[in-house]
Amino acid sequence: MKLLDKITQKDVNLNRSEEIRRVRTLLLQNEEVKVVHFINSIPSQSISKVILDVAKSFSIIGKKTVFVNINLLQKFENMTIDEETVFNGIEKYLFNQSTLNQLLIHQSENFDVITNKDTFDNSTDLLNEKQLEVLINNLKNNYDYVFLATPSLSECYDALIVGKFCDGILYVKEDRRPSKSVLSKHASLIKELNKPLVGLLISNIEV
Amino acid sequence: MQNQQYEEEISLLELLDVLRRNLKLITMLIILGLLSSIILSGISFYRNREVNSYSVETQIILSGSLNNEQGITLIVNTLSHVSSLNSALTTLKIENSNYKLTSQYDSDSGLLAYKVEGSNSETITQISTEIFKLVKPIIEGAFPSVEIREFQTSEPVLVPKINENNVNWLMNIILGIILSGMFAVFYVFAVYFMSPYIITDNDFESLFDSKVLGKFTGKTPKSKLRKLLEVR
Repeated sequence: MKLLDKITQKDVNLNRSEEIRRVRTLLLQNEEVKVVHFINSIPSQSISKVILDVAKSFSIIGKKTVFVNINLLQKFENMTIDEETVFNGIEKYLFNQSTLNQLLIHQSENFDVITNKDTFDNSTDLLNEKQLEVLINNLKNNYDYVFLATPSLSECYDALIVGKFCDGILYVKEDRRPSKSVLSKHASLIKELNKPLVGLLISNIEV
Repeated sequence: MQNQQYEEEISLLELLDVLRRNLKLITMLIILGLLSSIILSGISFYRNREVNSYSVETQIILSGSLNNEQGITLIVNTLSHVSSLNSALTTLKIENSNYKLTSQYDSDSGLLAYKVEGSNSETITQISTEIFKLVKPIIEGAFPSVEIREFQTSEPVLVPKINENNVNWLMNIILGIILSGMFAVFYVFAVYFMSPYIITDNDFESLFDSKVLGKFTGKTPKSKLRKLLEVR
Protein backbone atom coordinates (compact mmCIF):
# COMPACT_ATOMS: atom_id res chain seq x y z
CA MET A 1 0.00 0.00 0.00
CA LYS A 2 1.27 3.45 -0.90
CA LEU A 3 2.17 5.84 1.91
CA LEU A 4 -0.58 8.30 0.96
CA ASP A 5 -3.16 5.50 0.96
CA LYS A 6 -2.03 4.43 4.42
CA ILE A 7 -2.24 7.98 5.75
CA THR A 8 -5.69 8.73 4.30
CA GLN A 9 -7.28 5.39 5.12
CA LYS A 10 -10.44 5.88 7.22
CA ASP A 11 -10.37 4.49 10.70
CA VAL A 12 -13.85 3.04 10.36
CA ASN A 13 -14.97 0.97 7.43
CA LEU A 14 -18.60 1.89 6.88
CA ASN A 15 -20.47 -1.13 5.57
CA ARG A 16 -23.86 -0.15 4.16
CA SER A 17 -25.80 -3.33 4.91
CA GLU A 18 -24.27 -3.52 8.38
CA GLU A 19 -25.42 0.04 9.09
CA ILE A 20 -28.95 -0.69 7.82
CA ARG A 21 -29.18 -3.71 10.14
CA ARG A 22 -27.99 -1.53 13.00
CA VAL A 23 -30.65 1.11 12.34
CA ARG A 24 -33.29 -1.63 12.10
CA THR A 25 -32.23 -3.18 15.40
CA LEU A 26 -32.30 0.18 17.17
CA LEU A 27 -35.74 0.98 15.72
CA LEU A 28 -37.10 -2.41 16.72
CA GLN A 29 -36.19 -1.64 20.33
CA ASN A 30 -38.68 1.25 20.23
CA GLU A 31 -41.82 -0.84 20.42
CA GLU A 32 -44.24 2.11 20.42
CA VAL A 33 -42.88 3.46 17.16
CA LYS A 34 -44.67 1.77 14.26
CA VAL A 35 -45.15 4.75 11.95
CA VAL A 36 -41.69 6.13 11.23
CA HIS A 37 -41.35 9.42 9.42
CA PHE A 38 -38.04 10.13 7.69
CA ILE A 39 -37.42 13.86 7.52
CA ASN A 40 -34.81 14.84 4.95
CA SER A 41 -32.66 17.87 5.51
CA ILE A 42 -32.04 18.52 1.83
CA PRO A 43 -33.29 17.02 -1.45
CA SER A 44 -30.91 14.18 -2.13
CA GLN A 45 -30.97 10.92 -4.03
CA SER A 46 -28.63 9.34 -1.52
CA ILE A 47 -30.98 10.15 1.37
CA SER A 48 -34.02 8.69 -0.48
CA LYS A 49 -32.03 5.53 -1.19
CA VAL A 50 -31.12 5.15 2.50
CA ILE A 51 -34.75 5.56 3.55
CA LEU A 52 -35.95 2.92 1.07
CA ASP A 53 -33.21 0.48 2.09
CA VAL A 54 -34.05 0.84 5.79
CA ALA A 55 -37.75 0.25 5.03
CA LYS A 56 -36.98 -2.83 2.91
CA SER A 57 -34.81 -4.29 5.65
CA PHE A 58 -37.86 -4.62 7.93
CA SER A 59 -39.70 -6.76 5.37
CA ILE A 60 -36.71 -9.10 5.18
CA ILE A 61 -37.15 -10.09 8.82
CA GLY A 62 -40.84 -10.85 8.27
CA LYS A 63 -42.35 -7.53 9.31
CA LYS A 64 -45.18 -6.46 7.06
CA THR A 65 -43.90 -3.12 5.85
CA VAL A 66 -45.18 -0.33 3.67
CA PHE A 67 -43.16 2.57 2.36
CA VAL A 68 -45.20 5.70 1.60
CA ASN A 69 -43.63 8.37 -0.54
CA ILE A 70 -45.60 11.56 0.08
CA ASN A 71 -43.34 13.71 -2.05
CA LEU A 72 -45.64 15.38 -4.55
CA LEU A 73 -42.90 17.70 -5.78
CA GLN A 74 -41.10 15.12 -7.87
CA LYS A 75 -41.39 11.61 -9.26
CA PHE A 76 -40.02 8.79 -7.19
CA GLU A 77 -36.95 7.52 -8.99
CA ASN A 78 -35.24 5.26 -6.50
CA MET A 79 -37.29 2.24 -7.43
CA THR A 80 -38.19 0.71 -10.77
CA ILE A 81 -41.90 0.06 -11.16
CA ASP A 82 -43.05 -2.29 -13.91
CA GLU A 83 -44.85 -0.47 -16.69
CA GLU A 84 -47.57 -3.14 -16.49
CA THR A 85 -48.20 -2.46 -12.80
CA VAL A 86 -51.55 -0.79 -12.34
CA PHE A 87 -51.75 1.56 -9.40
CA ASN A 88 -53.09 4.94 -8.41
CA GLY A 89 -50.85 7.72 -7.20
CA ILE A 90 -51.22 8.85 -3.58
CA GLU A 91 -52.60 12.17 -4.84
CA LYS A 92 -55.77 10.33 -5.99
CA TYR A 93 -56.34 9.12 -2.42
CA LEU A 94 -55.78 12.59 -1.06
CA PHE A 95 -58.38 13.89 -3.54
CA ASN A 96 -60.75 11.12 -2.40
CA GLN A 97 -60.63 9.49 -5.82
CA SER A 98 -59.08 6.14 -4.93
CA THR A 99 -59.19 3.31 -2.40
CA LEU A 100 -56.22 2.20 -0.38
CA ASN A 101 -55.85 -1.10 -2.27
CA GLN A 102 -55.56 0.76 -5.57
CA LEU A 103 -52.50 2.62 -4.24
CA LEU A 104 -50.46 -0.40 -3.24
CA ILE A 105 -47.52 -1.51 -5.36
CA HIS A 106 -46.52 -4.96 -4.21
CA GLN A 107 -42.73 -5.13 -4.30
CA SER A 108 -41.95 -8.35 -2.48
CA GLU A 109 -43.32 -10.51 0.25
CA ASN A 110 -44.11 -8.23 3.20
CA PHE A 111 -43.13 -5.10 1.33
CA ASP A 112 -45.48 -2.65 -0.39
CA VAL A 113 -44.91 0.81 -1.72
CA ILE A 114 -47.23 3.76 -2.13
CA THR A 115 -46.04 6.70 -4.18
CA ASN A 116 -47.25 9.55 -6.36
CA LYS A 117 -47.80 9.46 -10.11
CA ASP A 118 -48.10 13.16 -10.84
CA THR A 119 -46.10 16.08 -9.49
CA PHE A 120 -47.45 19.36 -8.10
CA ASP A 121 -45.69 22.61 -7.31
CA ASN A 122 -48.14 23.55 -4.53
CA SER A 123 -47.89 20.21 -2.73
CA THR A 124 -48.47 21.67 0.76
CA ASP A 125 -51.91 22.95 -0.26
CA LEU A 126 -52.83 19.53 -1.61
CA LEU A 127 -52.06 17.63 1.58
CA ASN A 128 -55.57 16.99 2.90
CA GLU A 129 -54.85 16.38 6.58
CA LYS A 130 -58.05 14.43 7.18
CA GLN A 131 -57.47 12.05 4.28
CA LEU A 132 -53.82 11.71 5.26
CA GLU A 133 -54.76 10.75 8.79
CA VAL A 134 -57.23 8.16 7.47
CA LEU A 135 -54.61 6.73 5.14
CA ILE A 136 -51.94 6.44 7.84
CA ASN A 137 -54.37 4.93 10.37
CA ASN A 138 -55.47 2.36 7.80
CA LEU A 139 -51.89 1.46 7.03
CA LYS A 140 -51.06 1.25 10.72
CA ASN A 141 -53.86 -1.29 11.17
CA ASN A 142 -52.72 -3.40 8.22
CA TYR A 143 -48.92 -3.28 8.52
CA ASP A 144 -46.34 -3.86 11.23
CA TYR A 145 -44.30 -0.87 10.11
CA VAL A 146 -45.20 2.20 8.08
CA PHE A 147 -42.36 4.32 6.73
CA LEU A 148 -43.18 7.82 5.50
CA ALA A 149 -41.00 9.95 3.25
CA THR A 150 -41.69 13.61 2.38
CA PRO A 151 -39.91 16.40 0.53
CA SER A 152 -36.94 17.80 2.42
CA LEU A 153 -37.46 20.52 5.00
CA SER A 154 -35.28 22.79 2.87
CA GLU A 155 -37.82 22.57 0.04
CA CYS A 156 -41.17 22.91 1.81
CA TYR A 157 -42.94 22.17 5.09
CA ASP A 158 -44.91 19.08 3.96
CA ALA A 159 -42.86 17.08 6.45
CA LEU A 160 -44.36 19.08 9.32
CA ILE A 161 -47.90 18.26 8.19
CA VAL A 162 -47.16 14.55 7.73
CA GLY A 163 -45.17 14.53 10.97
CA LYS A 164 -48.36 15.03 12.99
CA PHE A 165 -49.46 11.48 12.19
CA CYS A 166 -46.28 9.54 12.89
CA ASP A 167 -45.07 7.79 16.04
CA GLY A 168 -41.46 8.75 15.65
CA ILE A 169 -39.13 10.79 13.46
CA LEU A 170 -35.78 9.90 11.91
CA TYR A 171 -33.88 12.96 10.69
CA VAL A 172 -31.51 12.39 7.78
CA LYS A 173 -28.73 14.67 6.61
CA GLU A 174 -25.81 14.33 4.23
CA ASP A 175 -22.21 14.40 5.39
CA ARG A 176 -21.38 18.07 6.13
CA ARG A 177 -24.62 19.25 4.51
CA PRO A 178 -26.66 21.36 5.12
CA SER A 179 -25.07 24.20 7.11
CA LYS A 180 -25.25 24.63 10.89
CA SER A 181 -27.80 27.44 10.58
CA VAL A 182 -30.15 25.31 8.43
CA LEU A 183 -29.76 22.36 10.81
CA SER A 184 -30.56 24.58 13.80
CA LYS A 185 -33.72 25.76 12.08
CA HIS A 186 -34.73 22.16 11.31
CA ALA A 187 -34.01 21.13 14.90
CA SER A 188 -36.37 23.75 16.28
CA LEU A 189 -39.08 22.89 13.70
CA ILE A 190 -38.89 19.21 14.66
CA LYS A 191 -39.00 20.11 18.35
CA GLU A 192 -42.18 22.09 17.73
CA LEU A 193 -43.79 18.99 16.20
CA ASN A 194 -43.69 17.44 19.67
CA LYS A 195 -43.07 13.94 18.30
CA PRO A 196 -40.23 11.70 19.52
CA LEU A 197 -37.06 12.04 17.48
CA VAL A 198 -35.93 8.41 17.53
CA GLY A 199 -32.62 9.01 15.85
CA LEU A 200 -30.42 10.66 13.26
CA LEU A 201 -28.96 9.30 10.07
CA ILE A 202 -26.03 10.61 8.01
CA SER A 203 -25.86 9.67 4.35
CA ASN A 204 -23.40 10.17 1.50
CA ILE A 205 -20.30 10.01 3.66
CA GLU A 206 -17.28 10.25 1.39
CA VAL A 207 -14.52 7.80 2.23
CA MET B 1 -31.93 29.29 22.01
CA GLN B 2 -30.67 25.84 21.20
CA ASN B 3 -28.46 27.31 18.51
CA GLN B 4 -27.01 29.92 20.90
CA GLN B 5 -26.12 27.23 23.41
CA TYR B 6 -24.50 25.19 20.68
CA GLU B 7 -22.26 28.07 19.62
CA GLU B 8 -21.28 29.20 23.09
CA GLU B 9 -20.30 25.92 24.72
CA ILE B 10 -16.60 25.47 24.04
CA SER B 11 -14.73 23.58 26.73
CA LEU B 12 -11.05 22.81 27.08
CA LEU B 13 -11.82 19.11 26.71
CA GLU B 14 -13.54 19.83 23.42
CA LEU B 15 -10.50 21.77 22.18
CA LEU B 16 -8.20 18.91 23.18
CA ASP B 17 -10.53 16.44 21.51
CA VAL B 18 -10.43 18.45 18.26
CA LEU B 19 -6.63 18.29 18.36
CA ARG B 20 -6.66 14.57 19.16
CA ARG B 21 -8.99 13.81 16.25
CA ASN B 22 -6.75 15.75 13.89
CA LEU B 23 -3.46 14.43 15.22
CA LYS B 24 -2.69 12.82 11.87
CA LEU B 25 -3.16 16.10 10.00
CA ILE B 26 -1.12 18.04 12.59
CA THR B 27 1.69 15.47 12.39
CA MET B 28 1.65 15.70 8.58
CA LEU B 29 1.92 19.50 8.68
CA ILE B 30 4.76 19.34 11.24
CA ILE B 31 6.63 16.86 9.02
CA LEU B 32 6.10 19.22 6.07
CA GLY B 33 7.46 22.10 8.16
CA LEU B 34 10.45 20.01 9.19
CA LEU B 35 11.18 19.06 5.58
CA SER B 36 10.79 22.68 4.47
CA SER B 37 13.25 23.87 7.13
CA ILE B 38 15.77 21.22 6.04
CA ILE B 39 15.37 22.18 2.36
CA LEU B 40 15.61 25.91 3.10
CA SER B 41 18.67 25.36 5.31
CA GLY B 42 20.25 23.35 2.49
CA ILE B 43 19.58 26.15 -0.01
CA SER B 44 20.96 28.68 2.46
CA PHE B 45 24.03 26.52 3.06
CA TYR B 46 24.65 26.24 -0.68
CA ARG B 47 24.24 29.99 -1.21
CA ASN B 48 26.53 30.91 1.71
CA ARG B 49 29.22 28.39 0.92
CA GLU B 50 32.80 29.59 1.17
CA VAL B 51 34.10 31.24 -2.00
CA ASN B 52 37.85 31.37 -2.63
CA SER B 53 39.26 34.87 -2.81
CA TYR B 54 42.56 35.89 -4.46
CA SER B 55 44.64 39.01 -4.26
CA VAL B 56 47.34 40.43 -6.46
CA GLU B 57 49.69 43.21 -5.33
CA THR B 58 51.36 45.67 -7.67
CA GLN B 59 54.38 47.68 -6.55
CA ILE B 60 55.57 50.80 -8.30
CA ILE B 61 59.03 52.06 -7.33
CA LEU B 62 59.50 55.71 -8.09
CA SER B 63 62.91 57.48 -8.28
CA GLY B 64 63.60 61.17 -7.85
CA SER B 65 62.16 63.89 -5.63
CA LEU B 66 58.71 63.23 -4.19
CA ASN B 67 58.00 66.46 -2.33
CA ASN B 68 54.64 67.21 -3.95
CA GLU B 69 52.29 66.09 -1.16
CA GLN B 70 49.13 67.02 -3.03
CA GLY B 71 50.26 64.91 -5.95
CA ILE B 72 50.94 61.88 -3.71
CA THR B 73 47.52 62.21 -2.08
CA LEU B 74 45.91 62.41 -5.52
CA ILE B 75 47.70 59.25 -6.67
CA VAL B 76 46.88 57.27 -3.50
CA ASN B 77 43.25 58.42 -3.65
CA THR B 78 42.99 57.57 -7.33
CA LEU B 79 44.34 54.10 -6.67
CA SER B 80 41.87 53.53 -3.84
CA HIS B 81 38.86 55.09 -5.55
CA VAL B 82 36.05 52.90 -6.77
CA SER B 83 35.85 54.80 -10.07
CA SER B 84 39.35 53.53 -10.98
CA LEU B 85 38.21 49.98 -10.39
CA ASN B 86 34.99 50.54 -12.34
CA SER B 87 36.90 52.10 -15.20
CA ALA B 88 39.19 49.05 -15.35
CA LEU B 89 36.20 46.71 -15.21
CA THR B 90 34.48 48.61 -18.03
CA THR B 91 37.59 48.44 -20.19
CA LEU B 92 37.85 44.71 -19.57
CA LYS B 93 34.05 44.30 -20.07
CA ILE B 94 33.61 42.60 -16.71
CA GLU B 95 30.11 42.93 -15.26
CA ASN B 96 30.68 41.44 -11.83
CA SER B 97 31.74 44.19 -9.45
CA ASN B 98 32.72 41.93 -6.56
CA TYR B 99 36.31 43.24 -6.52
CA LYS B 100 38.21 45.28 -3.99
CA LEU B 101 40.97 47.84 -4.54
CA THR B 102 43.31 49.21 -1.82
CA SER B 103 46.53 51.26 -2.01
CA GLN B 104 49.38 52.54 0.18
CA TYR B 105 52.48 54.71 -0.13
CA ASP B 106 55.72 54.44 1.83
CA SER B 107 57.45 57.82 1.71
CA ASP B 108 60.76 56.47 3.05
CA SER B 109 61.29 53.91 0.35
CA GLY B 110 59.21 55.68 -2.33
CA LEU B 111 57.18 52.52 -2.76
CA LEU B 112 53.65 52.89 -4.06
CA ALA B 113 51.62 49.72 -3.84
CA TYR B 114 48.05 48.74 -4.61
CA LYS B 115 46.17 45.49 -4.11
CA VAL B 116 43.26 44.04 -6.11
CA GLU B 117 41.11 41.33 -4.52
CA GLY B 118 38.53 39.13 -6.23
CA SER B 119 37.28 35.59 -6.76
CA ASN B 120 38.93 35.10 -10.15
CA SER B 121 42.74 34.93 -10.08
CA GLU B 122 43.19 35.68 -13.80
CA THR B 123 40.86 38.67 -13.88
CA ILE B 124 42.46 40.42 -10.90
CA THR B 125 45.84 40.39 -12.74
CA GLN B 126 44.20 41.99 -15.78
CA ILE B 127 42.45 44.56 -13.57
CA SER B 128 45.74 45.35 -11.86
CA THR B 129 47.42 46.03 -15.24
CA GLU B 130 44.51 48.26 -16.36
CA ILE B 131 44.75 50.30 -13.16
CA PHE B 132 48.45 50.81 -13.73
CA LYS B 133 47.67 52.13 -17.25
CA LEU B 134 45.20 54.54 -15.64
CA VAL B 135 47.49 55.80 -12.90
CA LYS B 136 50.67 56.10 -14.98
CA PRO B 137 49.70 59.39 -16.75
CA ILE B 138 48.63 60.84 -13.39
CA ILE B 139 52.07 60.07 -11.87
CA GLU B 140 53.83 61.52 -14.87
CA GLY B 141 51.68 64.65 -14.68
CA ALA B 142 52.05 65.17 -10.91
CA PHE B 143 55.83 64.44 -10.77
CA PRO B 144 57.46 65.52 -14.04
CA SER B 145 60.89 64.95 -12.52
CA VAL B 146 60.07 61.51 -11.17
CA GLU B 147 60.68 58.37 -13.12
CA ILE B 148 58.85 55.06 -12.73
CA ARG B 149 61.79 52.84 -12.07
CA GLU B 150 60.09 49.54 -11.60
CA PHE B 151 56.61 48.11 -12.04
CA GLN B 152 56.00 44.70 -10.57
CA THR B 153 52.83 42.62 -10.17
CA SER B 154 52.84 39.59 -7.87
CA GLU B 155 51.31 36.22 -8.62
CA PRO B 156 47.70 35.85 -7.38
CA VAL B 157 47.64 34.71 -3.76
CA LEU B 158 44.78 32.81 -2.10
CA VAL B 159 43.27 34.90 0.71
CA PRO B 160 41.91 32.91 3.67
CA LYS B 161 38.30 33.92 4.34
CA ILE B 162 36.13 33.20 7.38
CA ASN B 163 32.50 32.41 6.45
CA GLU B 164 30.43 34.39 8.93
CA ASN B 165 27.07 33.21 7.52
CA ASN B 166 27.25 29.60 8.65
CA VAL B 167 23.84 27.86 8.55
CA ASN B 168 22.51 26.88 11.98
CA TRP B 169 20.81 23.60 11.04
CA LEU B 170 19.56 22.74 14.53
CA MET B 171 18.04 26.17 15.09
CA ASN B 172 16.34 26.13 11.66
CA ILE B 173 14.89 22.65 12.25
CA ILE B 174 13.60 23.56 15.72
CA LEU B 175 12.05 26.75 14.31
CA GLY B 176 10.53 24.75 11.43
CA ILE B 177 8.90 22.30 13.85
CA ILE B 178 7.62 25.02 16.20
CA LEU B 179 6.24 27.24 13.42
CA SER B 180 4.62 24.38 11.50
CA GLY B 181 3.13 23.04 14.76
CA MET B 182 1.65 26.46 15.52
CA PHE B 183 0.33 26.74 11.96
CA ALA B 184 -1.18 23.23 12.12
CA VAL B 185 -3.02 23.97 15.40
CA PHE B 186 -4.23 27.32 14.03
CA TYR B 187 -5.39 25.65 10.77
CA VAL B 188 -7.31 22.92 12.62
CA PHE B 189 -9.06 25.35 14.98
CA ALA B 190 -9.76 27.88 12.23
CA VAL B 191 -11.39 25.29 9.97
CA TYR B 192 -13.22 23.62 12.85
CA PHE B 193 -14.70 26.73 14.43
CA MET B 194 -15.21 28.81 11.29
CA SER B 195 -16.75 26.02 9.23
CA PRO B 196 -20.43 26.69 8.44
CA TYR B 197 -21.00 22.92 8.59
CA ILE B 198 -21.32 20.49 11.46
CA ILE B 199 -18.19 18.37 11.43
CA THR B 200 -18.59 15.84 14.22
CA ASP B 201 -21.39 13.45 15.13
CA ASN B 202 -21.32 14.82 18.69
CA ASP B 203 -22.19 18.32 17.47
CA PHE B 204 -25.00 16.91 15.32
CA GLU B 205 -26.33 14.87 18.24
CA SER B 206 -26.20 17.75 20.72
CA LEU B 207 -27.99 20.06 18.29
CA PHE B 208 -30.91 17.64 17.86
CA ASP B 209 -30.67 16.08 21.31
CA SER B 210 -30.76 12.62 19.76
CA LYS B 211 -28.35 9.84 18.73
CA VAL B 212 -26.87 9.06 15.33
CA LEU B 213 -28.24 5.60 14.52
CA GLY B 214 -26.52 5.04 11.20
CA LYS B 215 -23.97 6.42 8.79
CA PHE B 216 -24.05 5.55 5.10
CA THR B 217 -21.28 5.93 2.58
CA GLY B 218 -21.80 7.71 -0.73
CA LYS B 219 -20.76 6.74 -4.21
CA THR B 220 -18.28 9.52 -4.87
CA PRO B 221 -14.92 8.83 -3.25
CA LYS B 222 -13.08 11.69 -1.65
CA SER B 223 -9.81 12.80 -3.27
CA LYS B 224 -6.68 11.83 -1.35
CA LEU B 225 -5.60 15.45 -0.95
CA ARG B 226 -9.02 16.38 0.45
CA LYS B 227 -8.86 13.46 2.85
CA LEU B 228 -5.42 14.56 3.95
CA LEU B 229 -6.34 18.19 4.60
CA GLU B 230 -9.78 17.52 6.05
CA VAL B 231 -10.38 18.64 9.63
CA ARG B 232 -12.47 16.11 11.57
